[in-house]
Amino acid sequence: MKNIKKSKITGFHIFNSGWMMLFAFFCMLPMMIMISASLSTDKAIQTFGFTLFPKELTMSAYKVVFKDGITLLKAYGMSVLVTVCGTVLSLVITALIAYALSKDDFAFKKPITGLILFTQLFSAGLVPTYIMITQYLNWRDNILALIIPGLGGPFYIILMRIFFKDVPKELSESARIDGCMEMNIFIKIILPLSMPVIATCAILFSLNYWNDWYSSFLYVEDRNAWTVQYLMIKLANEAQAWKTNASLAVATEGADSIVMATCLIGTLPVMVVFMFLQKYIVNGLTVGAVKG
Amino acid sequence: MYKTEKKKVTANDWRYLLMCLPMIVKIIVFTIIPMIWILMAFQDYKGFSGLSGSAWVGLENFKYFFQNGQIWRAIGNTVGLNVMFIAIGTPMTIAMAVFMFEMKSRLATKTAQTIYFFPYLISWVVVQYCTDAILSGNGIVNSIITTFGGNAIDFFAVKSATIWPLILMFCNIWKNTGYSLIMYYASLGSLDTSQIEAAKLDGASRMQKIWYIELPHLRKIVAILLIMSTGSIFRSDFGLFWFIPQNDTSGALLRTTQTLDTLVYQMSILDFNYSIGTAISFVQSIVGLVVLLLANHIIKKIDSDSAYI
Repeated sequence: MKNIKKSKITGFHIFNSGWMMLFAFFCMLPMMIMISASLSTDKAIQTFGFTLFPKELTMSAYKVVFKDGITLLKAYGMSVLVTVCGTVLSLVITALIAYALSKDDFAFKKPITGLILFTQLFSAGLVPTYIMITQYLNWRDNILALIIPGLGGPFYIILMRIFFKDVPKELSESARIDGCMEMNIFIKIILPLSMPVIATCAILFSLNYWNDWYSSFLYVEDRNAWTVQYLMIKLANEAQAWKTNASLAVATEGADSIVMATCLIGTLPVMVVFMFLQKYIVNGLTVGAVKG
Repeated sequence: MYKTEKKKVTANDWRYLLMCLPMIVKIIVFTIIPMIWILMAFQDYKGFSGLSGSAWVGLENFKYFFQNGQIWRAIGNTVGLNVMFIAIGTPMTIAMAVFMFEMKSRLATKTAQTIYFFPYLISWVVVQYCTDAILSGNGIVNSIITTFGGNAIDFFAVKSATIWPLILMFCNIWKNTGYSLIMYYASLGSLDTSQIEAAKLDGASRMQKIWYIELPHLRKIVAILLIMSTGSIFRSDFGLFWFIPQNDTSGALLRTTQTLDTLVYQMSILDFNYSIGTAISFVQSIVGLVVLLLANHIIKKIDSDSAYI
């Protein structure tokens, strides 16, 4: 009987792992292409096409990127600035409202929850927001346009609220009896106990800000306000210019290796951060899925 | 009932309200106030004269909407692609979550989860360069085809438009599976293990276990995610439809890849036709809202536990 069971398991397992590995291959494909193409010569890419392993191994693409890298460096600085400010501000305003909404006796809880739900379901659309930001706030080419409109979000409020609610009431009650102010209770008792959810939200916020190309796409033209993502939108032209500057340009060759090198450099920080902090994302989303 | 329970507003309530204030201000400035410009959908809006100076045209913009073939094409594409994404993506992701749950090796599960999340971390802008490297004239697919003696396919030409829904569906599933997989997998993780043990003792096969215990357990989260995706049936992931078919530069594939969101962008931001763009957005929001409430109502009727609102 044991034998029968075992053979059944094997059949299922082969199908299972084959399928899972095929999908894993596709998930790694972009990284493989970026690495391979950035290490190939443009001539090799033109003649042999893109491959999964570099042909005519060379570091010249990286040399060009770093030699003429002032554009990339500036864009990097801009992206870091936007990401850090956006993440910190998002955390602050999301945590504040989530704490208030975690209180069952909060008198304005219903209307505020209603407001959030309504804005989640109904939006005015692209043009009204665009007019508001470009004509009334005058935030064209302004870093604020990349930070403020994207602050927080309903999902994160719900996530944090679940966590804050789980902190035992007795803790804040006893602090209140000791004469502790509401704000102090929040900062000294609730927040330290909710670090996992803060970490999850911080990672997801920074991922969103780092990968946000849409705001730049709408509100940015000035080179001084380019983020890494926007630079990558403009990359096809930029890379050719960098190559010309480095007096490497051969018109027929294109600049694919430089494009791929820049894409890799732009994606790498996210990958590295994710690798180290993966467990926070998984844990946070797990709580969201199970309790939300 | 709520009214009778209502107490007096205390000092503490004002403190809590103060804590909500930054987020409320943000919502009002960037979501509520812009709703004024929805009026534009009923005007022939001219940028220089503003809302007050532009002429009212009643439902003229919506009339244009219903008579314009381009818009119907975009609606067809948006709804069709969304239905495809949901109908094929959801079962696939659930199947993968169940497979993963059946895997005994902790290391394998962890590794798979990590790798499947990669696409979620890469922005569409970067994905564009990669799909180009796969599909273009000297891309990987064409290299494979020509190696086996076939003729290279120009994926970005007008005549290739018919296969693009499949390519877009692949990209969409590829990018989002890692994220939704975590949700489904987590939900399976909260399954009462004694139930599975009992089934095993009773001699339930693997398939029976999956069919009668694990899938029913996922019902609630599937329902919620389904309701939310029906609410965005008229919406689309702008980056996917703008960059991947290279509509930003060529537009050869618009027949099958133009969605309402790329159309709104093109009409309003590129062609300055603000009124039509806003009219389309308005219809998108209304339809989304109505469909979501409807779906929520239906699911509530079937299974009151699983409703969203």
